[in-house]
Amino acid sequence: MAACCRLTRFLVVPGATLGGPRLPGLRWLSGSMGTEQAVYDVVVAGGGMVGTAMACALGHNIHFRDKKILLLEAGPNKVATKLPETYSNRVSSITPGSATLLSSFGAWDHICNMRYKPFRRMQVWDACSEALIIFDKDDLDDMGYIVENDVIMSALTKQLDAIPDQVEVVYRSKVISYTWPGPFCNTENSPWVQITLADGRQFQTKLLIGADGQNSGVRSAAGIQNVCWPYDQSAVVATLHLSEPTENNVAWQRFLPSGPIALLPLSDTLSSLVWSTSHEHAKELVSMEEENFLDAINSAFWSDANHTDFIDSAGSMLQYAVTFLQPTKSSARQLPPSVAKVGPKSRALFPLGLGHAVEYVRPRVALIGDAAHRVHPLAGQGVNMGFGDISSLIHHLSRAAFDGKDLGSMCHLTKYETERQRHNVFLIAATDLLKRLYSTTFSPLVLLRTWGLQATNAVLPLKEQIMAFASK
Amino acid sequence: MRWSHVGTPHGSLPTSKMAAAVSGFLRRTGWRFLRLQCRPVTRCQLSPMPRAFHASALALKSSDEQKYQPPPASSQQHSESQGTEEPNPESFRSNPRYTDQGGEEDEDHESEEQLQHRILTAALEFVPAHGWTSEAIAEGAQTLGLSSAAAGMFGNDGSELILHFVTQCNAKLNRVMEKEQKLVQLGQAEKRKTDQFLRDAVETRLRMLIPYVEHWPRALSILVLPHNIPASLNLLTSMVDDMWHYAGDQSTDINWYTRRAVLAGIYNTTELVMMQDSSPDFEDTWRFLENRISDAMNMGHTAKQVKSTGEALVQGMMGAAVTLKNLTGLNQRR
Repeated sequence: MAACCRLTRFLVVPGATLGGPRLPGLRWLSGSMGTEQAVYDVVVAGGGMVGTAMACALGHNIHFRDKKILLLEAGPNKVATKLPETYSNRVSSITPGSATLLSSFGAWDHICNMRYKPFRRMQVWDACSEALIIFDKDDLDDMGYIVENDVIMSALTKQLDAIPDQVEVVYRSKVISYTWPGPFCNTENSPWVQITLADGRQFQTKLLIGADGQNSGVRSAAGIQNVCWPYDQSAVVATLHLSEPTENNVAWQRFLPSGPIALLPLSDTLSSLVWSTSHEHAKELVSMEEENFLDAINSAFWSDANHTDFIDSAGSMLQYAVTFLQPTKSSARQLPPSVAKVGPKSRALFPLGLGHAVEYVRPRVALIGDAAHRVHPLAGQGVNMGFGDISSLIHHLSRAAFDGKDLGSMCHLTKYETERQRHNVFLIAATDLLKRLYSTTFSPLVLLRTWGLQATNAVLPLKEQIMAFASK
Repeated sequence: MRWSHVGTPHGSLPTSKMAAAVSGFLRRTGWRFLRLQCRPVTRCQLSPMPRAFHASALALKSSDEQKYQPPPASSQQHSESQGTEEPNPESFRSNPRYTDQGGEEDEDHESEEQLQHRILTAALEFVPAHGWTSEAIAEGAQTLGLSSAAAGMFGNDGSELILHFVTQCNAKLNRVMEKEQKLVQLGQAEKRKTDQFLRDAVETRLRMLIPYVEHWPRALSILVLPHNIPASLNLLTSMVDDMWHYAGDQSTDINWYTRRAVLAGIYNTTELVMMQDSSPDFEDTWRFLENRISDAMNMGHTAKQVKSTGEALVQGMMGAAVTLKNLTGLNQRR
């Protein structure tokens, strides 16, 4: 078996330093390639959280033990050797499903050793009414974890460094072109995908995985149509110090007409802010004085300015009905903490939009992560959808590798596409709908969403379904 | 001499020899009008009646006319012309224009068309008083020294006068636009933007109506009578075409048609507004014109936007279809 493998590798990479005569019958493998090109089994384009996790997962997969994997990252290696004291302002909410994936190849342990914050409950409420919904799993299990993006990257890179034989990582490798083989095999052209870097290096691969973000080069090179539109919103992120230390295991989100504001716990004294609002307001927030910024945040969470009597009375009417029908009260409303200080230089903003790649796969290409879908952060699902893509794709690729199939074959790639699109399209649509529903103060819609939220809060099975879906 | 020729209004075309003989006699007798009956019919549209009037009118005119040497034959018509190269050059010459065949007119002698042209031009100054009627034409003819019965040359409804007026205005407009184009080419003037140019062109053209604006509504209604439509439509389209030409339009696709149609619409509506306008110096009309021109410019932009929106919509629908195919599992390709 091992000899067979070595022979295979020899045949596939004739230019390798193994020496020996080149078999004349195999000239077509080497002659047409010109300069020697390594053929990889899988190339992951893009070294963000999702790309690195994919490479890691592939590398640690038992059926990929003898396969060659390459990770191409256009930027430099940004992972710091030591964990910085200050918290970074870009954080992600990791669901238990994603945590399972990360622990399947050992990255979760590294995260646990660094820092993360589990939260037990999530309270979401409206600015235009008293309606709210509280998600919690009976305070026993963690609903999710708030982890800084840098911590995740560092953990993943550590795991990658542990498998240098399977996974090769190339930094500062900007790709300038991808070429796909034609539909029919002929002796002239190579049947693999050709990747050309800016510095002239070329690679060939049997399967190209595009994880290069919302402006994916792989997606545009493959000619996959991307349905996208920008939201008229930017997200402001910051690290905030709370007024007083608390247990801080609740994630808070309030829907303002201008956009949702969320406070995610980082530690007992720190929380991370994600405030999606209009472009002008976002610029104002980032540039205003610290005092004014804090006032804005506190009033956004506490102010009742958008309440109207009509909506309030309608809401309390339904609330009476609910308590009448369901005497066992669900969790009580809690008040969010107030903030006292902003972390220095921690305010930043980035624009928001929606993106959906119509196809996730083409022959020898698969898209994962933001290259395939881009969503509003109000549901905290962006990176979790990417991790979900990874688990699905790993599952299918692993099966294919075990069966000895061609990795770039469409039969298992389309299964991955169907499976993930069913999940992702629904989530993108739901998030977009929620965003549109909550960005208005038009009374009928406010009434609709008030009653809808209260009803959903009252119906426990429905809440459990939602939580289960979002935790996948 | 046989006098039988005199009685026949039309008669067959006499041979030149006989005509020469007859004309010689008639000249001697001064009955020049009879000569005209020998003139070959070159203008078929004149109905019989007007021709008789024409003859009588010319006869009456002859009495006032300065006497010229009656040319014996058409070959001597040249000598005559020298004496008559002055303000009334194309006035009636008592020389017969009957020729061999074909009725070629000598350049220096007035054709019927030129005469009509003169009469109508003269009639224009009486239009404010009499309207677009035969009275105005008659008055105009009288100023030229013709009998008022000359108005019989034309129809009763004044169509020819109106068409003549429109033709003249269009020609004037052309001259103005051409002059401006020359100035631009010489670098003495700035090339104006399209909408500005069109606005000025339409305004210039409509200002020519101002002296006649009282009776112009009637003129418009006459212009749309069925027998006038070909001519008036022709004039409108050629005017619009000229305007666009001088504005710099060089399109070779459907835009050629749409631009002219739009400008014709703008011109017609502005003309109608002008009829109803009572503001000083027709300010409301010019404002209306400005708004219509900017609407037309925006329409071009909107059309492009609609096209791009349509394309985006089609793209979106195709994307939705493919996604649906994936969701239902129909994407298991070969």
